[in-house]
Amino acid sequence: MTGKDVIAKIDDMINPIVVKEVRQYLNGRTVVALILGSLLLEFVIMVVFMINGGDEIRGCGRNFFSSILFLLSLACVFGIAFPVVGRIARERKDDSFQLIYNTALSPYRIVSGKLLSCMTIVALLVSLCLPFMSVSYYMRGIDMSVIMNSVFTLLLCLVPFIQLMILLGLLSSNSVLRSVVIIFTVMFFLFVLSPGVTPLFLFGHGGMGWTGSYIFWLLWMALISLLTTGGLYLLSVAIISPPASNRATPIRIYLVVLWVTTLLIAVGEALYHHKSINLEIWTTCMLFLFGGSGLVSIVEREVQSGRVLSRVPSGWFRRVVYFLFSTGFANGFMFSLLFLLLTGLLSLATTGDIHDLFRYNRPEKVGFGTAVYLMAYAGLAIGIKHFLLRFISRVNMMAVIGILICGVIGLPVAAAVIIYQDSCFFGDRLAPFMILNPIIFAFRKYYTEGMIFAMILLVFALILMWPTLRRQIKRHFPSRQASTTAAGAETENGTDTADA
Amino acid sequence: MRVEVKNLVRNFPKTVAVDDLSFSFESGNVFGFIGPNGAGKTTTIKIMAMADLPNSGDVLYDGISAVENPEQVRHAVGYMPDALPENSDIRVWEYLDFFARVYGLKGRKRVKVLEDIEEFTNLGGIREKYLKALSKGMKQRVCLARALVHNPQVLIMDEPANGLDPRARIELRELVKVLADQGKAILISSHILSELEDMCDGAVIIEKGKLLRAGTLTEINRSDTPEDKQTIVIRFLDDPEAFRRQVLQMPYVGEVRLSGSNELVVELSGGDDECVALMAGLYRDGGRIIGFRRQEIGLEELFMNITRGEVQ
Repeated sequence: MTGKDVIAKIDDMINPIVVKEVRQYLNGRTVVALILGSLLLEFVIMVVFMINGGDEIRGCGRNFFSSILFLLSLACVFGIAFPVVGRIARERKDDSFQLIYNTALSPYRIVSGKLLSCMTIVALLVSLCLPFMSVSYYMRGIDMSVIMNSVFTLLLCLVPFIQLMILLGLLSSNSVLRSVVIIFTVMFFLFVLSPGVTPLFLFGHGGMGWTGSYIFWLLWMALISLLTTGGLYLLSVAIISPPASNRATPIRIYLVVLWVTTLLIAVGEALYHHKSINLEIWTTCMLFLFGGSGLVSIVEREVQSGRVLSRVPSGWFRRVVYFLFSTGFANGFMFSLLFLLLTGLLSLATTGDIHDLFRYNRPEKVGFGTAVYLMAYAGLAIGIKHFLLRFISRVNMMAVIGILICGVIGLPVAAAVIIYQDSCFFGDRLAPFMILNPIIFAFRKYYTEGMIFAMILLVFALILMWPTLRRQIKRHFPSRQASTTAAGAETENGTDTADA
Repeated sequence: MRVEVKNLVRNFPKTVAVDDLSFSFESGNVFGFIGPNGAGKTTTIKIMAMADLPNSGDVLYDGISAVENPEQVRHAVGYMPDALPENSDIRVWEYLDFFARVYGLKGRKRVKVLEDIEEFTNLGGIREKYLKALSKGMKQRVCLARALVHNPQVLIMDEPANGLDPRARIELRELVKVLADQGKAILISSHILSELEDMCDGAVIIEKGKLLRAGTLTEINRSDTPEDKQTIVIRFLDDPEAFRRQVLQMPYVGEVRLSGSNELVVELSGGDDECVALMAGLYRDGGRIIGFRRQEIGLEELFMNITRGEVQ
């Protein structure tokens, strides 16, 4: 095998999207202008530092490096990550994306190709900045390890950020939502994360044992980056997966992995430091997460495709697992409910608080209450949506309306409550109205009332959605008689078993 | 391969774009997909090309559902949309190379396939050009090349002749004929009915999302004229005026009119026997006949007869 053959083999192995996108980036003017512009600016900054530094030039490496890093993050965010949204949105608009989507390329490879192509350009930009970073080292005032770790941290931050931009680009036409999320994310990235990276290394680390070391920080950042990117990646894949496929499965698997991984970390941390604060944070985060995933179930498929139903396994246990991990509103709702219960029970059991569910005594109880509210409203929205589906063929906006019902009722006064929560007037007079909203938990003394109301609401929602929920569950667990009939029908007519 | 569109329904807010549409065609057939603007042609084509989803109904490729199992049929379908992206940062060869990679063509095979397709669609001279710099005709050829890169069994073309000059149209028609001879099932939507008439074996005519006629051109023709009525064109060597009255007196003849030079157009009630009797009668009376044919309704006339020009 000649060298040419090896290169051809490697060329074939590269994701086609990466090949195309990198070619496009290098053919276009934007990236070339970005590279030349940032190099020129960095050179100017270096000259300015050298001229102004005078005799103290051998100590200003730290400031010079911070400037270079800030410039680099600006270039990556505005020159690479930010335009991805428009680029993908444009592709979706002019049929290009549909053409790619219609090829043999899997949604996983499409999304990973987009991410990898962006990261290739980021790597190119970073590598071009390395000479300037070396200069900052020779200016003194900064260690090589700090430089390397800062660059790695920047890359670890950029990966989920770019993935988020890809997700936003893939989201269909809601440009207002897209713009708002982009603006907030960019602000967060530029003003909180990026300038904070270097000072964190410079002043916050070193000499504080294992947990204060760079490597611990990097591992921690890598884990957060991996989990965030994984979640966003799977959401992006789900958006472009065929609607008839089991598009929820990877996300549910991811949620379970996230649940287990973070639980192990929280428990390990609690055992190591003899403090339960991380466990409390974990409980609250998971309750919010699964409460939110309950809301997502509103927009899931009302009727599962034949493709999903034809793969229902035979054993009872396997059916339960398949049910929980399949796409569909009932599946999503039950999955969220199950993990909320597991999280809650685990937390109550570890704190010995299991008999005192309705009394506020721990901060994570707010998470409990909010999760119950979220599930109740999700159930209500599903019930209303399916009731309306009897009369109209499509209920697109109902899902959104359902989610917003609780928010809209409470929003006008919520701000006032947060500002004046200690005032007797707002606290006592408005609290009864707030019971429709999880904001009630801002008043700790009304926790019990709020929790009881949320529970009643959840039961009511379950009753409302029960007919459709039962129908969906039955499709996965047909009675023996129905199975036999369906099997007979399938033999005779070639129809789908579950549909029959 | 057999393509079956079954009871397709696609709703948009306040509009039913496709309403219970069913038709089918097979390998080696070129089918025209005809309808006024806004009839639901592009929507149907997008669903067939798996670029959109129906509210109900299905498209089956050799019995495999494009709605339930799109992954299994994607390799068999080539979709040629009516426009090419206006990218100024990708060249023609890069664009085709990308789609060849996407369809899993590797190494030398990919290079060979791309060379063949560039030759077939005559793209050799413009392969280094950026997509944005191409003329309409060139873009259509790139679109066709892209759709053919994975050698699909079914080719779905949305308005391929739109905006093309006469020469480019003739070239496209030739390409379509070659592809049909290769055994591909081809569906072409177009407004230029004379073009379709020359290359199509059959047609699907829709209006307001509903099917009006579908089948081979002969089938559609027959379905549109009563079984016992036909129009016969008789060409004489001499002036046919003398025979006009004579023909009118025949019992099964309806209307008779002169057409062009030395032609009589006869509306006939009856089948082949009456045709033979008409010809024999004219011979007997000394008519010097040099042409005798049944007049088929053209696609254009058929389209005008069937549709009402209603849009949604």
